[in-house]
Amino acid sequence: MGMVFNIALDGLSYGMVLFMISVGLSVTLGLMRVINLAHGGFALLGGALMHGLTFQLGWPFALALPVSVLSVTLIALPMEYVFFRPLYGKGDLTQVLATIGLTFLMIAFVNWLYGSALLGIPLPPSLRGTVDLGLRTLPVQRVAVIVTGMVVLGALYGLIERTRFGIWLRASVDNRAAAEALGINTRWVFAATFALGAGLAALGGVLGAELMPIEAYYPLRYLVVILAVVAVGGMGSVWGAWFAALGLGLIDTAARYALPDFGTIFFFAALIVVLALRPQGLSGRAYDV
Amino acid sequence: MFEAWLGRMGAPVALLGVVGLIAFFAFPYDLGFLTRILIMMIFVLSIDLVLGYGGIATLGQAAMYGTGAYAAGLFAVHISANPLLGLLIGAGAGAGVAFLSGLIVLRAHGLGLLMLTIAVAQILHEIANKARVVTGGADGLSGIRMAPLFGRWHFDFIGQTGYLYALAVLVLVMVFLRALCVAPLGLTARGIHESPVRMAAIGVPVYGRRVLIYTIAGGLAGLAGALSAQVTALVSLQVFSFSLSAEAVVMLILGGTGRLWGAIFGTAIFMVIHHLAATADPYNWLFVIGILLLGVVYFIPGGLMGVRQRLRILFGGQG
Amino acid sequence: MPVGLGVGLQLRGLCKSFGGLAVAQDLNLDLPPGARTALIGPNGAGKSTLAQLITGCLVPDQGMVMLDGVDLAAVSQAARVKRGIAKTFQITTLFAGLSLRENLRLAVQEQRGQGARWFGRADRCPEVEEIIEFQLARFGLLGLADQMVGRLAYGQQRLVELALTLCLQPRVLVLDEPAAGVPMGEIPMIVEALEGLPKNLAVLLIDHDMDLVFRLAQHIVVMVAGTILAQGTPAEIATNATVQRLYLGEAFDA
Ligand SMILES: Nc1ncnc2c1ncn2[C@@H]1O[C@H](COP(=O)(O)OP(=O)(O)O)[C@@H](O)[C@H]1O
Ligand SMILES: [Mg+2]
Repeated sequence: MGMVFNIALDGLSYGMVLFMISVGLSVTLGLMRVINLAHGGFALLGGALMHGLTFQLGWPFALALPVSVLSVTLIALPMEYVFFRPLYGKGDLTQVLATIGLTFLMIAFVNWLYGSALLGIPLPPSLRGTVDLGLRTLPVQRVAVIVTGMVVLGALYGLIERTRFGIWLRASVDNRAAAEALGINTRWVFAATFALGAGLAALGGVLGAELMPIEAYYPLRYLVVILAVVAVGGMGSVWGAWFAALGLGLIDTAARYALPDFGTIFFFAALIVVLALRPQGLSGRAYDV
Repeated sequence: MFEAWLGRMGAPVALLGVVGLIAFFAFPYDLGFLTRILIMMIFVLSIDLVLGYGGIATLGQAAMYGTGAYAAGLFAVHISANPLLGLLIGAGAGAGVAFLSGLIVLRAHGLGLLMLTIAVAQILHEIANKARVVTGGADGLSGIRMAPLFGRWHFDFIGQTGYLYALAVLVLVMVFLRALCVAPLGLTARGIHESPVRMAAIGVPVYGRRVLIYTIAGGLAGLAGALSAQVTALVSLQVFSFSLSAEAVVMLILGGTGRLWGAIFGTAIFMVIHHLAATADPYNWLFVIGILLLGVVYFIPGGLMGVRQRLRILFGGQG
Repeated sequence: MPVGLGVGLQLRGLCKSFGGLAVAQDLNLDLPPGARTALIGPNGAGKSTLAQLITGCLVPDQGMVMLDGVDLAAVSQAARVKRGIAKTFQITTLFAGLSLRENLRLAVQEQRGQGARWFGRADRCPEVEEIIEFQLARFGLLGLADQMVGRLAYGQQRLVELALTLCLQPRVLVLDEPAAGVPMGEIPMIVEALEGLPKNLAVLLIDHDMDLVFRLAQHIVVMVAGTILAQGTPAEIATNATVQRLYLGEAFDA
């Protein structure tokens, strides 16, 4: 019983981290059809910035977190303009290659700043303890990650379903030409979505640093996992990414607890089964948000 | 006139052999490194067949390379030290894995396809890691001893036999691929790359042909893996790694896809720059390759071979 | 021998919807060998969809496509081509990066069952090259044979579209607006090619060009909103009041 509970808790928090990191990639992929292998790099940038602010400069966690996330969001804007615009409409492979190149540059950059060691992010005391729920005590950090993940999901839902920006976004995903004909500035929608996705990746990177430690090779080390979430979830789908992230997070965690000898086999077996049955991923339509 | 003659006589491939021999005499102390380049060329050629000609985006060709390496290694350890037989076993194993995984993988497109190719390689990596009784796990498969080639040439420490052996296999692979590219199946591959929709409309069973091309390329990748196992007498888990697949794709793009000579030049240039830059500082190397990649994609989309049109003409039609 | 040999293509109760939009509603049509049937109707009527249902590119929600009395439900698109059903595309779909000759070669080598051969040169098979030359000559494309198809003018690409399909030597030929986008001067070439087709070939011609339709068709089917509104000989259709009011009389966009 205790093990099932631990698996659920760890699996959920791992899944939520994967969700936050991957959702931006999924939506931008649905929107601009750019396979951005450098997306994990934004999580790395967020984590590295966080490390610099808290560990080196001694900023409080609560201040450094929003500053890091916001900075990455702002950095993403010019990057979208310079690197990604020329890639829209290019072949899969061109995009893959360009964004691998970008990933290498991000890795080299972080290494130039901090070297190749693990970049620790000290947790504030408030996140370090446990919380007593009567039945059990839970590590605060895990609970905080799960709550944040749910808040992000809720906020994205609200943004997409309830705001004008959401209408523009959905219209642009469905049919870019028609959206433009309606006077929607799809370029701006693209850029804003891209930056938002990058910010969320940074948030996920920082909050998930316990499970996925920040270091220069981060974007390559977790590349496959991030892409798996997007592919299983179906591109352009917030819900798909959420389900896929939680499902894969739980499967991977359960396998590690129950059958540690088999490592990541279950993760990839699940990936193959889903994609063999549904090459488009879980979300019904390829264009779904 | 002269160029046409060169092209027709299959001279470019002979030229490859000659350059290989010159390198043999010019760099007698770097034969180990040069041999790795030759093997990598075969591997990158196999990716060119899948990706450049067949238009199948893959980041998991290492699955077949690794399978070929382990198959040849295990064959040498347990059954026979005959190198040529081992090569056949490696190629067969690579083709077998490509065929079986291709049946699943090739049903998908775009990102799903990329992910599936990666997943197959990762699963094989994990299996090789866990089956340590058979494969040696993370320590690698050792104890590979090859019998002399044709019963005469021993695999020596300096690597002379290994180098010439790899060069001969590369030349044969090149001859095979040049023939394949002008054969009906080669044209079919290019057609599928251009427009799968139209291919179906002219009666081509696109899925089946993709599986066929993937299987042939898998055989070549297995061949490369087998060669590496035999020449280095070691198989490590690295043979299944994502970075092997990804780097090989980078080499191909650098040289130019859909051109056999693109694979050759891309590999040579990448490996040499890597050798020079990485010995200095591995991160320095990442910076170099990152810039190189962005440069190729944004400024010379056809790869080096796209720029070197004149070289292409010089080396004959298909190059 | 199958019972229905010689009855050609038969459509029975075909239905197809995209979401809530019914683009084919209980369509029935016979296309016996030698048929010269035209399918006309306004944009969005479902003509191209019907063509795709015939080739197997789309799967019907209900109903059957039969060739010589055999239900084709389980026959893939590629296998239908081998049984003699071929279609041209309304929107040109060619191998843009290959030469004109290579485009046709792909079709001919596949039709002859050589498409998966690893050996021999694709361009050294005399029988294949002969068919290619014949089709190129028929459309006046010989001079362009070694050009990359993506670089040809759109009108020329339309001719290639037709030549490519004829290389398959079909028994049932579906032409989806073959003349759309072809300059006036080159339309006679299409008419001539279509008039020169083997007599026992069944042709379904989808087009807006009334000259072409009345010139070639012996039977005309009028389709509106997924249903067949009227059918008959060209003379009947030309005088049909409903058709005139709904369609022929009005200006419509091609
Ligand atoms: N794949 C599809 N998905 C959804 N709607 C489609 C699809 N293909 C065609 N349609 C719709 O079906 C209708 C009929 O299209 P089509 O058969 O191309 O008409 P026609 O060829 O007569 O102009 C149109 O309204 C078109 O928008
Ligand atoms: Mg149409």
